[in-house]
Amino acid sequence: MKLRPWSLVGALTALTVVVPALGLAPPDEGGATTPPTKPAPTAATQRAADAPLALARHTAANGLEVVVFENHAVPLVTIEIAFRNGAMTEPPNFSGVSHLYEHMFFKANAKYPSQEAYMARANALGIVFNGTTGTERVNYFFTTTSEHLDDAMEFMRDAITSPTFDPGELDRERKVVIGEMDRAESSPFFLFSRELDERLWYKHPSRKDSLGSRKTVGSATVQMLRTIQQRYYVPNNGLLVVTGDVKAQSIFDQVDRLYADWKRGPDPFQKFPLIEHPPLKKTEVVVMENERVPAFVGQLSWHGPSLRAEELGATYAADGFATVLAEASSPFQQRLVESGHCLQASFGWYTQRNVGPINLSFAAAPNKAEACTKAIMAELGRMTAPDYVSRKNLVDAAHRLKIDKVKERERPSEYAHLLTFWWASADIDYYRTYVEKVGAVQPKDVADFMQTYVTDKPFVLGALITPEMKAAGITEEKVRSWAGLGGDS
Amino acid sequence: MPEAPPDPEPVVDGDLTVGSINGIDVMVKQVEAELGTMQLYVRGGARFRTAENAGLDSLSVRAAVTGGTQKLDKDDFDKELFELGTEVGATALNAYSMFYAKALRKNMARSFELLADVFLRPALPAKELELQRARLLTQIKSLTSSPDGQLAEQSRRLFYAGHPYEHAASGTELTVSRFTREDLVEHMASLQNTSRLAIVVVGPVDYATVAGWVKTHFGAVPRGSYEPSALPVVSHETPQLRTTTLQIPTNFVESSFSTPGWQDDDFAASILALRLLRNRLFDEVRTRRSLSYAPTARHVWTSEVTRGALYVSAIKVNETMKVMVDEVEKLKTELVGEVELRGAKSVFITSTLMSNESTDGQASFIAMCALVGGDHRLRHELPERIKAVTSEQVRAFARKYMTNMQTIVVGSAEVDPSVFPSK
Repeated sequence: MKLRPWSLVGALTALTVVVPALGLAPPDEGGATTPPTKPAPTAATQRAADAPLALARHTAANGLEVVVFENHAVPLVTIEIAFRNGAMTEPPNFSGVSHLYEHMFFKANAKYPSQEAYMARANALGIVFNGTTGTERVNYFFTTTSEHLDDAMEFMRDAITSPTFDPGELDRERKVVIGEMDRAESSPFFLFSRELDERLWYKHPSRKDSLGSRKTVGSATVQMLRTIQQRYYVPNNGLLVVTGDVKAQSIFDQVDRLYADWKRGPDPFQKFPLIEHPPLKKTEVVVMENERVPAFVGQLSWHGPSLRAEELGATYAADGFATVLAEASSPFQQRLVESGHCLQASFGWYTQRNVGPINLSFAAAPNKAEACTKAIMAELGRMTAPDYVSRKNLVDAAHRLKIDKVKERERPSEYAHLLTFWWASADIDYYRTYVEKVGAVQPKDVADFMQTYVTDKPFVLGALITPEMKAAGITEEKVRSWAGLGGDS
Repeated sequence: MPEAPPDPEPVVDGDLTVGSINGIDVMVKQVEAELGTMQLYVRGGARFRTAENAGLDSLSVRAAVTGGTQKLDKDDFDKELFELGTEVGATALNAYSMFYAKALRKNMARSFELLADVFLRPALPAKELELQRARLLTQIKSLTSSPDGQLAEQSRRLFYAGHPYEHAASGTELTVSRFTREDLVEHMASLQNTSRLAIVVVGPVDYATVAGWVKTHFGAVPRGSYEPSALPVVSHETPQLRTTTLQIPTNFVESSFSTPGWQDDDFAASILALRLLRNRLFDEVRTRRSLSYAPTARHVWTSEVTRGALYVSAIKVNETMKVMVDEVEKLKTELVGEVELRGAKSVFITSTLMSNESTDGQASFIAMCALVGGDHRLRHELPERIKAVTSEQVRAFARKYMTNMQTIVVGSAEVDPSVFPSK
């Protein structure tokens, strides 16, 4: 699952940062790890209706997957296209270029000769649009009234298949992206999460850094964008989702017609497999100071499972477990938060194709930093016990997730983003059967998950404090000591 | 004690049924959906806020929805919500406080009962008060953790100085630190007059059913005599510029100005003008000049006292603001072309529909039209008024309102006051 947003220190979720292009408007060498699960090439189209989730699915002849979610409550349509791209595909010399590419999507293409022309067309069609770049997905989405469906479908096709990458526009957009970095780096939470990421993904930090490097973005060339386009912007590495006031069959017919000339490409993950993030060799502690931090903020991070066949069971166990712990009435919340030790505590695994992080995040009033940290570590000790959660807890968690899924479908324009997220890091079938699989998790599965990824495994412990907290004695030595890692007791 | 007048017959307005039960305005929109949203509004909001009590409404509603009820203690309350799959929450805003429940169709009746109990019979245990107090204090501190937060907070204080909106709903560290449980109990009791209440339900349920719930759970609540008073209009005679030095990689700027209220003839023009300006700032500042990632024109039009603003983060503050001010001047002096105007109207319609996709979005929009705008029919009429806006009306709005901007800069730039908007 996606990590639950942290209301108190929401910026901490920058650890799982997704970078928007418009915000208010953002590859090559590799080691060897299991490539993403890919749909088998198919000459004929396959169509299937997914009744429980009301998802209609289709695969075009060129390999482009299509999912339609019909909802006729309001006369709106959302068209979203996503690619398995982003930080996971970026070696250091491409760090941030997927994000820069995403910005260039909203510019000149074969049909619209400039960004001004592109924007004018979007405006004329009443389109609300944006794009985001994450670690494993880049997505672009348009929402407009259903009367503009056909034009918007063409507009998306033109943007996705024929970007011009005008050098002048690229030059200007590099500066815009650098401006986006300036904003991000003005946040203490962004700097904190980046610091933790550099330790957690120590060998390949660029593969988890969606925003990327100033140096690389500042010198990116049109040729680099073309490399990304040719490698990852191929139909057989993409998913088109259309939600809202539409008819599935009509969408499938349009896709077959509009994208008929878009040629299938080589599977990018065959030639350029995902790199392998080596396990942490030792536990590390990092304490960062920033005068603008509202509370003592802490986080423990481990390497979690990847979305691959041999770890699927662990992914369901992780999510079932995290859902149990999120409930206000859970012993986890009772002992950590209701006890008054911590202001907030959460545990979760981030759904990722290539090693999702497991995070135990917490915050405390400065005078309770010690009590909270010690309570967290004590709870962590309990969490590894085989009977920490019951079967009933897990069934209830699946019930909660089932209701969450109902809520997700209420907003078709946002539901499209969820579908592409799950597709990129897992696949649609994983999403379809997700609640059922979580509902089948047994306490032993949770214990195995903890044993495999957390118990006695090295981790990164981060703490974010103010200079005043440091002056009051909250030092790295103290934090180590509270966590039972030696230091000044 | 005189007998209460009988409830009037409900009125049907398209898909919305509007009635009054024991003095509570009840609005029900029946839709086919798996989930239903039930919202309880308490009028007043910032009207009753002072430098001494700011934050009381926030802390009260938080502790009320998280602390259990007099019938179910916190633990049992949380467990039942979990089993029902119901979400209950509350928020304190400038126009009102709002308690809500979102529930599966089959659990709406019980969820409404729990919602009523949260409002009428909150347990407010001392332990929960302390937890929520600690969280609210951290939230207040977090306002200054990001430059955007600092900008927003300082901009609000500067623009609304002397106005009830000057006091943040979240309060201050000083006020929130000293509220007692008795303060919260008293405050919650003061809200329990039906003349202050409105209930909006959107979901798979009809008016008669909701009316039955309201009679059962709110039938004995006293009516009280709440009469909403008009809030003062915000007006600035001169421009102001204030800078907060912060060592960060860029600078954050916001220049605020008054905009018309819901009852004003140029309200629709203001919405459209700010959308047009947003597009133009994006084109001129970001696309053509690469001066910023985030130039925009903001418009807070969903509250009783509205506000517009130029917003940007940029290293070259003076150069960037000059471009933005030039765009404002163009809006004041040139007529917007028909194509551009039509496009902005289309995007407004799309945005409005997007905010109405969910049952809670629909309920909030109905409530905003009824409670802030003064008439639930605005949910139909506002889009029509937007469609009718002319280029001349946009220019007239810009000339009348986009003056005497109140500017905050957060960052380390050397700011030249002459480039900032003046009369």
